[in-house]
Amino acid sequence: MAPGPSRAGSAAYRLLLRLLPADVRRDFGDDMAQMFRDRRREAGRRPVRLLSVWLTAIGDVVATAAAARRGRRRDVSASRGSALTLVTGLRQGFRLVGRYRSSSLTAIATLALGIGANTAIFSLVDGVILHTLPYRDPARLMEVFEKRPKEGNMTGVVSPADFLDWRARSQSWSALAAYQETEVALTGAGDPVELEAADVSSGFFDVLGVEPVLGRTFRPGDERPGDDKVALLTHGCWERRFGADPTIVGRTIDLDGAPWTVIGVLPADYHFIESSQEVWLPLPLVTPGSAPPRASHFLSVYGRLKPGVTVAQARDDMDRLGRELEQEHPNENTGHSPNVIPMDEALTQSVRTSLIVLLTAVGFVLLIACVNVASLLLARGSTRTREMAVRASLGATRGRLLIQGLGESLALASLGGVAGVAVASITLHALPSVLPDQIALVDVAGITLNTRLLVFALGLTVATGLVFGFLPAWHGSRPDLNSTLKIGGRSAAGVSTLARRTLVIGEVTLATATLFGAGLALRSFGAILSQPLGFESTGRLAATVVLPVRRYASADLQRTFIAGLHDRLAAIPGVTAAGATTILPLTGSDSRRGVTIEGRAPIAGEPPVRMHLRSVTTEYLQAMGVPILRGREFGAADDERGQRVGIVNQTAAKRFWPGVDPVGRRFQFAPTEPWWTVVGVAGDVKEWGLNRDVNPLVYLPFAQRPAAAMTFVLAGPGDPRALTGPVRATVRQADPDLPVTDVATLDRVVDDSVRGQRAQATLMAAFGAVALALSAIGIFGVLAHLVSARTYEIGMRMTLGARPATIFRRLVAETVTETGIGLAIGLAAGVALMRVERTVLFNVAPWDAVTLASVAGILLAAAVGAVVIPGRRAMRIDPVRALRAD
Amino acid sequence: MPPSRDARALLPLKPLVFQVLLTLTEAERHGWSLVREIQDRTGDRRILPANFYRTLRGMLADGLIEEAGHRTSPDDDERRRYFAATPLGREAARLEARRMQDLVADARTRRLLGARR
Repeated sequence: MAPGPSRAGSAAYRLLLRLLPADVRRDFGDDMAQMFRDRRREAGRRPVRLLSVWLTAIGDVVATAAAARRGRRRDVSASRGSALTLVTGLRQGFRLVGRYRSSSLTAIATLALGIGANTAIFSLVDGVILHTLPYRDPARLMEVFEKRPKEGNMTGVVSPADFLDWRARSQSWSALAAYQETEVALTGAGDPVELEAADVSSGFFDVLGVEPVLGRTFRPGDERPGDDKVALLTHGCWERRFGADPTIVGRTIDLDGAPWTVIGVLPADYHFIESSQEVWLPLPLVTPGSAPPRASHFLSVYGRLKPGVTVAQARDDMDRLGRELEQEHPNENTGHSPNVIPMDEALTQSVRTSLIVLLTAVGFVLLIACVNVASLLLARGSTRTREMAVRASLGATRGRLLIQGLGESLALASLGGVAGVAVASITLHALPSVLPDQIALVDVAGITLNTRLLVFALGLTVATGLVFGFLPAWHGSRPDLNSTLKIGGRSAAGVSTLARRTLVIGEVTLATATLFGAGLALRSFGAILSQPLGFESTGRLAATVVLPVRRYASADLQRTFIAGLHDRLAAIPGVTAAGATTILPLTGSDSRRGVTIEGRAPIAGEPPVRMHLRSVTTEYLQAMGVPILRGREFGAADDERGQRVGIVNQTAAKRFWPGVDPVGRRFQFAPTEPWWTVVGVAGDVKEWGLNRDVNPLVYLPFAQRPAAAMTFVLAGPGDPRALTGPVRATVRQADPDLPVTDVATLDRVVDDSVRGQRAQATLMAAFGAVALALSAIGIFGVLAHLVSARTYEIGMRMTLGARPATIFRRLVAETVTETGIGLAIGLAAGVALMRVERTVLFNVAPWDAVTLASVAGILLAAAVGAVVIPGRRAMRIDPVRALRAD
Repeated sequence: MPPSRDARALLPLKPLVFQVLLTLTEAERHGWSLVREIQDRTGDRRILPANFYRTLRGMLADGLIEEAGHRTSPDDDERRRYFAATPLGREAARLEARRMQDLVADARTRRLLGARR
């Protein structure tokens, strides 16, 4: 986000300035806006300061506007001619806001919360979901999944044979290409380095519309076996690993021990889903002597629509093709068909549900706000029925009375809207501290207030205000003066009792559904946090060192330095265990390679069996508290001269050596590389997220597979943060030029890894709390008004012998009934909603009993709390006075 | 509005009016730079835009200040409206200053403030 204040804020201030007389605005509007911008810039991003700047500005403008209008009337008495305009109504509305100050403030605060929270979340959703992809003409980019509706999978990966048929026989695409993530070892340029890579079919870069800065991209001929040893480098890889050599095209590099020819370099701003990929290789789709596999599915397919072809046409085309293939290959393809989804939609799919749940919750908050304002205006309108009747009898036209009513709603809505902008801009400022840095390739900090949606929220509240302001105004303007004046407006309570009941029930329903969602989000988050990590996080500090390849070019240098540093770090007082790994759990980095398991022949056409790799020093597992379940840990003998050994995790043991003891078994990464022997089985570690499954993983001794970047983990009995200083000092002693990065306690690492879920739970809890508070205020307001409107009736009952306690009980009983109805509807709606969106839940059923019961309890308590004050007031009604009144 | 109006009729001046006139005796300024100058000099950060411009308008109407044309501000390259104090304005400021001086002198003789050394 730009350092200056947001444009939406300035627009809102301009809107506010509309309260001032037109000539003042014309003469000084720009200057005022400038001063206000300065104020906001000074306040920076501190929410409290910003709020105070906004409140001061609103007070300043409103006070000045009032003074200006007063002054003008005295001087010129100009308002005579414009008696019937909405402006007059609005002005009267503002005066009424001043007269009924507390209830107006409640309404404004309610609107501000509703509009503000909605605009902020709408902006977030809009920013993430409507973000355009960084490719040419992104609206034509599609991802083609394979759907298997019977298995509930709509976004499956695709088999090579199906992809080839799609590419050959569909008519909708100007380019259709397949993609698969992979890894390669770059050898022959110093020590081997593992690189993230991607295999893609020819045409992939035509799909994206990306042109290379050097050389060319893949051609159909590159897919032919024998001609497929060509590689594209990303700009970063070309700079980092090859010194931006301008003559790189045509040069040969060694990948996985074989020579590959570099054919091009991709542009610097190019990145795909995984931004860490450095090398792009042709996807070998055709194997000589065997048909491409149809039963194994591992490809992602992307396509660019031909000009003039719509998504619907492409879907029809692919559906037809799917049916043909089903008939041609009933064994493999029955129940499968292609599923075309716009690529931006496919990318945001994972967060879409979360955002929709948030939107629903915040939308309910807005609805509650509307209901509150409506009930307030309704209440106020019926109090003023008599005033209206008096006015009408004195000759005010019906139109004029209506305008007065509308003016009041508009006055409330406009003040609420301005305050809502303040709330929205504060919320948006605060969001980046709660949310993950990036959601679906979009920087959260770059999301700005969306004026379009602000106008939408404002429009909605004004519309609600109008409708509900209109009803009492309409009633009030009905010239049934006789009865109204005669019975003192008491009948008005009867007119809208049903409306008020409905409002209470509606409010409880909305609050219930929101709270229920919040409860489930919290329960899910709790369930995620209670997942066993597989390692000890308390009392551990992690710190990363990256050895510059120029100075530590050989494996020997890396080995010697890391071993020496390990000994120094382990010797720091207070450290009981120290170890290092290439990749720390839950940090989002990864390394994976295809493996061959000895005695387990690869099935033709199956995607390669893969294991995740971690190079670790001998004491690493001990320092992390990862248990060894079988076999042994690494020892000093497992060095570069020793036999190649590995420790697999439990998942790998179960998957690759089912029913047998893996210790002593062997595996291999590439035919040119040596065999590795399993010497132990370690407990599973949540490497990829607390709510994610554990994949097969193997730990390899650092001495046998050295690396330039290592993360040390130090364990000790004290506060691990106290080790930060000594760690930095120790690394400085070992190599003064070596930076230490990512110093954090493991507790912190775990914490950071659940930021997304925490954000969801926090926001949902916040919306739930706001919904609860607003609906409690609303119920209170409705009941308070009900009691005062029924003073006469209650007085009458008391005269006839009703006891105060009976009156109180009756009120409570009515409220509990209404709350009960609202609860029932709200919970049913909540369960139904969460069933649809159950992917956001983790280990919690959408009908979770604990959540159901707590929500019901909280809402009943809130409703009873809201009835107590008006109820006591009703008990204290003095029948004599109540009857004598009017 | 009468330019020949007696400045005495306008006394006492509101503090903000007096500050504006004081600032304009040095040079012509545009509204926003006036605010900054006054804020810097008095250390008062609470000059509010709407109220300030309403005051300026009042001063224009009373003939204390006049417009000195639009020109480009050296601060930010934006075209702005400049203001200058009128003779009446200078006179009013002078009278206000003297009035305050008299007040201070009065306070001194009543030993409310320490005597001047």
